[in-house]
Amino acid sequence: MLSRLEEKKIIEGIRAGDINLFAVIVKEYSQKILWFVRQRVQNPDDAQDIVQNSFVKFYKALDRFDSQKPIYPYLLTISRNEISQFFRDNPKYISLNEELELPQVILQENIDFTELSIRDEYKSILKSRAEGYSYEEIAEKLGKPINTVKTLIRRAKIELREAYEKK
Amino acid sequence: MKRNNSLSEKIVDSVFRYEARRTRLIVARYITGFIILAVLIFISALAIWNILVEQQTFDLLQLFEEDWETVKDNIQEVLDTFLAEIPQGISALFFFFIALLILFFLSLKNNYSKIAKRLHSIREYFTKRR
Repeated sequence: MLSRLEEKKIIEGIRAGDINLFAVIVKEYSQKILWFVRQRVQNPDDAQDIVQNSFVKFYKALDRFDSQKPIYPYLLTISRNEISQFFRDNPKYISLNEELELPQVILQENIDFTELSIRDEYKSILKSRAEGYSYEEIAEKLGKPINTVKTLIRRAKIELREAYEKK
Repeated sequence: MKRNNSLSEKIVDSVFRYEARRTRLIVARYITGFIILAVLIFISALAIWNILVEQQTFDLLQLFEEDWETVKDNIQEVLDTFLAEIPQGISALFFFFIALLILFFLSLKNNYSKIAKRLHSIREYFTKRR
Protein backbone atom coordinates (compact mmCIF):
# COMPACT_ATOMS: atom_id res chain seq x y z
CA MET A 1 0.00 0.00 0.00
CA LEU A 2 1.42 3.38 -1.01
CA SER A 3 1.65 6.01 1.71
CA ARG A 4 0.42 9.59 1.09
CA LEU A 5 4.00 10.79 0.95
CA GLU A 6 4.95 8.14 -1.60
CA GLU A 7 1.91 9.01 -3.72
CA LYS A 8 2.81 12.69 -3.57
CA LYS A 9 6.39 11.96 -4.68
CA ILE A 10 5.14 9.76 -7.51
CA ILE A 11 2.75 12.47 -8.74
CA GLU A 12 5.50 15.07 -8.60
CA GLY A 13 7.85 12.74 -10.46
CA ILE A 14 5.27 12.17 -13.20
CA ARG A 15 4.65 15.91 -13.49
CA ALA A 16 8.42 16.43 -13.82
CA GLY A 17 8.38 14.10 -16.84
CA ASP A 18 9.11 10.60 -15.49
CA ILE A 19 6.10 8.84 -16.96
CA ASN A 20 7.37 5.40 -15.89
CA LEU A 21 6.23 6.23 -12.36
CA PHE A 22 2.62 6.01 -13.50
CA ALA A 23 3.08 2.25 -13.78
CA VAL A 24 3.47 2.18 -9.98
CA ILE A 25 0.02 3.73 -9.55
CA VAL A 26 -1.45 1.35 -12.12
CA LYS A 27 0.09 -1.66 -10.39
CA GLU A 28 -1.16 -0.48 -7.01
CA TYR A 29 -4.76 0.35 -7.89
CA SER A 30 -5.79 -1.37 -11.13
CA GLN A 31 -6.99 -4.54 -9.42
CA LYS A 32 -8.99 -2.62 -6.82
CA ILE A 33 -10.64 -0.46 -9.45
CA LEU A 34 -11.33 -3.52 -11.60
CA TRP A 35 -13.01 -5.21 -8.66
CA PHE A 36 -15.12 -2.09 -8.06
CA VAL A 37 -16.14 -1.89 -11.72
CA ARG A 38 -16.89 -5.63 -11.97
CA GLN A 39 -19.48 -5.24 -9.19
CA ARG A 40 -21.44 -3.07 -11.59
CA VAL A 41 -20.47 -4.14 -15.08
CA GLN A 42 -20.62 -7.85 -15.65
CA ASN A 43 -18.92 -8.17 -19.01
CA PRO A 44 -15.18 -8.53 -18.25
CA ASP A 45 -14.07 -6.83 -21.48
CA ASP A 46 -16.32 -3.83 -20.86
CA ALA A 47 -15.09 -3.67 -17.27
CA GLN A 48 -11.47 -3.69 -18.43
CA ASP A 49 -12.17 -0.93 -20.95
CA ILE A 50 -13.77 1.17 -18.23
CA VAL A 51 -10.79 0.65 -15.93
CA GLN A 52 -8.39 1.52 -18.75
CA ASN A 53 -10.32 4.70 -19.62
CA SER A 54 -10.44 5.66 -15.94
CA PHE A 55 -6.67 5.46 -15.55
CA VAL A 56 -6.04 7.37 -18.78
CA LYS A 57 -8.46 10.09 -17.63
CA PHE A 58 -6.68 10.23 -14.30
CA TYR A 59 -3.35 10.61 -16.08
CA LYS A 60 -4.73 13.44 -18.22
CA ALA A 61 -6.00 15.18 -15.09
CA LEU A 62 -2.73 14.84 -13.17
CA ASP A 63 -1.70 18.47 -13.64
CA ARG A 64 -4.91 19.58 -11.91
CA PHE A 65 -4.89 16.84 -9.26
CA ASP A 66 -4.18 18.01 -5.71
CA SER A 67 -1.24 15.81 -4.71
CA GLN A 68 -2.05 16.40 -1.03
CA LYS A 69 -5.14 14.22 -1.46
CA PRO A 70 -5.14 10.41 -1.78
CA ILE A 71 -5.33 8.90 -5.26
CA TYR A 72 -7.70 5.99 -4.68
CA PRO A 73 -10.92 7.96 -3.95
CA TYR A 74 -10.24 10.14 -6.97
CA LEU A 75 -9.83 7.04 -9.16
CA LEU A 76 -13.07 5.65 -7.75
CA THR A 77 -14.92 8.85 -8.67
CA ILE A 78 -13.57 8.73 -12.23
CA SER A 79 -14.57 5.04 -12.49
CA ARG A 80 -18.06 5.79 -11.24
CA ASN A 81 -18.44 8.45 -13.92
CA GLU A 82 -17.09 6.08 -16.55
CA ILE A 83 -19.58 3.41 -15.49
CA SER A 84 -22.45 5.91 -15.73
CA GLN A 85 -21.26 6.95 -19.15
CA PHE A 86 -21.02 3.31 -20.19
CA PHE A 87 -24.63 2.66 -19.24
CA ARG A 88 -25.74 5.85 -21.01
CA ASP A 89 -23.96 4.69 -24.15
CA ASN A 90 -25.34 1.17 -23.77
CA PRO A 91 -28.88 1.68 -22.47
CA LYS A 92 -29.93 -1.92 -23.05
CA TYR A 93 -27.51 -3.19 -20.46
CA ILE A 94 -27.99 -3.01 -16.76
CA SER A 95 -25.91 -4.20 -13.87
CA LEU A 96 -27.99 -6.63 -11.92
CA ASN A 97 -25.52 -7.03 -9.11
CA GLU A 98 -26.92 -4.18 -7.06
CA GLU A 99 -28.23 -5.02 -3.62
CA LEU A 100 -29.52 -8.31 -4.95
CA GLU A 101 -28.00 -11.77 -4.90
CA LEU A 102 -28.46 -13.37 -8.29
CA PRO A 103 -27.60 -16.71 -9.83
CA GLN A 104 -24.12 -16.82 -11.33
CA VAL A 105 -25.47 -17.26 -14.89
CA ILE A 106 -27.13 -13.82 -14.80
CA LEU A 107 -24.09 -12.13 -13.26
CA GLN A 108 -22.00 -13.26 -16.18
CA GLU A 109 -24.20 -11.59 -18.78
CA ASN A 110 -25.49 -8.12 -19.47
CA ILE A 111 -29.17 -8.54 -20.16
CA ASP A 112 -31.25 -6.80 -22.82
CA PHE A 113 -34.28 -6.43 -20.55
CA THR A 114 -36.39 -4.59 -23.15
CA GLU A 115 -37.01 -7.92 -24.84
CA LEU A 116 -38.23 -9.66 -21.70
CA SER A 117 -41.87 -9.71 -20.58
CA ILE A 118 -41.90 -7.53 -17.50
CA ARG A 119 -44.20 -4.66 -16.57
CA ASP A 120 -43.73 -1.42 -18.53
CA GLU A 121 -43.39 0.50 -15.27
CA TYR A 122 -40.49 -1.76 -14.32
CA LYS A 123 -38.92 -1.49 -17.78
CA SER A 124 -39.04 2.27 -17.56
CA ILE A 125 -37.46 2.37 -14.13
CA LEU A 126 -34.75 -0.15 -15.09
CA LYS A 127 -34.01 1.89 -18.23
CA SER A 128 -33.50 5.00 -16.11
CA ARG A 129 -31.17 3.08 -13.84
CA ALA A 130 -29.30 1.65 -16.84
CA GLU A 131 -28.82 5.16 -18.19
CA GLY A 132 -26.97 6.04 -15.01
CA TYR A 133 -29.62 8.06 -13.17
CA SER A 134 -29.21 7.94 -9.40
CA TYR A 135 -32.00 6.85 -7.06
CA GLU A 136 -32.54 10.51 -6.12
CA GLU A 137 -32.88 11.55 -9.76
CA ILE A 138 -35.34 8.72 -10.52
CA ALA A 139 -37.35 9.60 -7.40
CA GLU A 140 -37.54 13.22 -8.51
CA LYS A 141 -38.50 12.20 -12.06
CA LEU A 142 -41.31 9.90 -10.87
CA GLY A 143 -42.37 12.13 -8.00
CA LYS A 144 -42.00 9.28 -5.53
CA PRO A 145 -40.02 8.91 -2.29
CA ILE A 146 -36.54 7.44 -2.66
CA ASN A 147 -37.31 4.33 -0.59
CA THR A 148 -40.27 3.60 -2.88
CA VAL A 149 -37.94 3.85 -5.88
CA LYS A 150 -35.46 1.45 -4.27
CA THR A 151 -38.29 -1.00 -3.58
CA LEU A 152 -39.57 -0.69 -7.15
CA ILE A 153 -36.11 -1.35 -8.56
CA ARG A 154 -35.70 -4.34 -6.31
CA ARG A 155 -39.07 -5.74 -7.43
CA ALA A 156 -38.24 -4.95 -11.05
CA LYS A 157 -35.05 -6.96 -10.79
CA ILE A 158 -36.86 -9.89 -9.21
CA GLU A 159 -39.40 -9.87 -12.03
CA LEU A 160 -36.57 -9.48 -14.52
CA ARG A 161 -34.77 -12.47 -13.07
CA GLU A 162 -37.94 -14.58 -13.23
CA ALA A 163 -38.63 -13.49 -16.82
CA TYR A 164 -35.04 -14.29 -17.76
CA GLU A 165 -35.21 -17.72 -16.15
CA LYS A 166 -38.50 -18.47 -17.96
CA LYS A 167 -36.89 -17.51 -21.24
CA MET B 1 -2.98 -12.37 -11.95
CA LYS B 2 -2.06 -12.91 -15.59
CA ARG B 3 -5.18 -11.03 -16.68
CA ASN B 4 -4.45 -8.22 -14.24
CA ASN B 5 -0.86 -7.97 -15.51
CA SER B 6 -2.16 -7.70 -19.05
CA LEU B 7 -4.69 -5.06 -17.92
CA SER B 8 -1.88 -3.09 -16.24
CA GLU B 9 0.19 -3.37 -19.40
CA LYS B 10 -2.75 -2.19 -21.53
CA ILE B 11 -3.27 0.82 -19.26
CA VAL B 12 0.41 1.78 -19.23
CA ASP B 13 0.55 1.33 -23.00
CA SER B 14 -2.47 3.64 -23.48
CA VAL B 15 -0.87 6.26 -21.27
CA PHE B 16 2.45 6.13 -23.09
CA ARG B 17 0.73 6.38 -26.48
CA TYR B 18 -1.27 9.36 -25.29
CA GLU B 19 1.84 11.01 -23.86
CA ALA B 20 3.84 10.32 -27.05
CA ARG B 21 1.12 12.09 -29.09
CA ARG B 22 0.94 14.99 -26.67
CA THR B 23 4.70 15.49 -26.42
CA ARG B 24 5.07 15.31 -30.23
CA LEU B 25 2.47 18.07 -30.47
CA ILE B 26 4.25 20.21 -27.86
CA VAL B 27 7.62 19.84 -29.60
CA ALA B 28 6.02 20.61 -32.97
CA ARG B 29 4.45 23.76 -31.45
CA TYR B 30 7.81 24.94 -30.11
CA ILE B 31 9.53 24.35 -33.44
CA THR B 32 6.73 26.01 -35.41
CA GLY B 33 6.59 28.92 -32.97
CA PHE B 34 10.34 29.48 -33.22
CA ILE B 35 10.31 29.37 -37.02
CA ILE B 36 7.38 31.80 -37.24
CA LEU B 37 8.98 34.24 -34.80
CA ALA B 38 12.35 34.02 -36.56
CA VAL B 39 10.70 34.73 -39.91
CA LEU B 40 8.71 37.68 -38.49
CA ILE B 41 11.79 39.18 -36.86
CA PHE B 42 13.77 38.76 -40.07
CA ILE B 43 11.02 40.33 -42.20
CA SER B 44 10.56 43.32 -39.89
CA ALA B 45 14.34 43.85 -39.59
CA LEU B 46 14.66 43.68 -43.36
CA ALA B 47 11.79 46.16 -43.80
CA ILE B 48 13.44 48.62 -41.38
CA TRP B 49 16.78 48.18 -43.13
CA ASN B 50 15.29 48.81 -46.61
CA ILE B 51 13.47 51.96 -45.44
CA LEU B 52 16.63 53.34 -43.83
CA VAL B 53 18.63 52.60 -46.99
CA GLU B 54 15.99 54.28 -49.16
CA GLN B 55 15.99 57.35 -46.88
CA GLN B 56 19.81 57.33 -46.93
CA THR B 57 19.68 57.46 -43.15
CA PHE B 58 22.89 55.48 -42.92
CA ASP B 59 24.70 58.47 -44.44
CA LEU B 60 24.40 60.01 -40.98
CA LEU B 61 26.94 57.47 -39.80
CA GLN B 62 29.55 59.24 -41.91
CA LEU B 63 29.92 61.50 -38.88
CA PHE B 64 32.15 58.84 -37.36
CA GLU B 65 34.66 59.38 -40.16
CA GLU B 66 35.27 62.87 -38.75
CA ASP B 67 37.58 63.80 -35.90
CA TRP B 68 36.65 63.16 -32.32
CA GLU B 69 35.71 66.77 -31.54
CA THR B 70 33.26 66.95 -34.43
CA VAL B 71 31.73 63.66 -33.42
CA LYS B 72 31.35 64.86 -29.83
CA ASP B 73 29.68 68.10 -30.93
CA ASN B 74 27.23 66.48 -33.35
CA ILE B 75 26.55 63.02 -31.93
CA GLN B 76 23.36 64.02 -30.13
CA GLU B 77 21.89 65.69 -33.20
CA VAL B 78 22.81 62.73 -35.39
CA LEU B 79 21.27 60.28 -32.94
CA ASP B 80 18.06 62.33 -32.70
CA THR B 81 17.82 62.44 -36.47
CA PHE B 82 18.55 58.73 -36.77
CA LEU B 83 15.84 57.86 -34.25
CA ALA B 84 13.36 60.20 -35.92
CA GLU B 85 13.97 58.52 -39.28
CA ILE B 86 13.50 54.98 -38.01
CA PRO B 87 10.01 53.81 -39.05
CA GLN B 88 8.00 53.79 -35.81
CA GLY B 89 5.33 51.23 -36.60
CA ILE B 90 7.63 48.55 -37.97
CA SER B 91 10.17 49.14 -35.19
CA ALA B 92 7.45 48.64 -32.59
CA LEU B 93 6.54 45.36 -34.29
CA PHE B 94 10.18 44.36 -34.44
CA PHE B 95 10.67 44.87 -30.70
CA PHE B 96 7.34 43.17 -29.98
CA PHE B 97 8.55 40.07 -31.86
CA ILE B 98 11.85 40.23 -29.97
CA ALA B 99 9.89 40.33 -26.70
CA LEU B 100 7.87 37.31 -27.85
CA LEU B 101 11.09 35.49 -28.70
CA ILE B 102 12.42 36.19 -25.19
CA LEU B 103 9.20 34.85 -23.67
CA PHE B 104 9.45 31.85 -25.97
CA PHE B 105 12.96 31.04 -24.74
CA LEU B 106 11.91 31.54 -21.13
CA SER B 107 9.04 29.09 -21.64
CA LEU B 108 11.38 26.62 -23.29
CA LYS B 109 13.88 26.98 -20.44
CA ASN B 110 11.15 26.28 -17.85
CA ASN B 111 9.78 23.25 -19.71
CA TYR B 112 12.91 21.85 -21.28
CA SER B 113 13.80 19.46 -18.50
CA LYS B 114 10.19 18.12 -18.29
CA ILE B 115 9.94 17.61 -22.06
CA ALA B 116 13.39 15.99 -22.23
CA LYS B 117 12.47 13.55 -19.42
CA ARG B 118 9.18 12.69 -21.09
CA LEU B 119 10.90 12.05 -24.40
CA HIS B 120 13.45 9.87 -22.63
CA SER B 121 10.71 7.86 -20.85
CA ILE B 122 8.75 7.44 -24.07
CA ARG B 123 11.80 6.37 -26.05
CA GLU B 124 12.84 3.92 -23.31
CA TYR B 125 9.34 2.41 -23.11
CA PHE B 126 8.88 1.88 -26.85
CA THR B 127 12.44 0.57 -27.26
CA LYS B 128 11.86 -2.01 -24.49
CA ARG B 129 8.57 -3.08 -26.10
CA ARG B 130 10.38 -3.98 -29.29
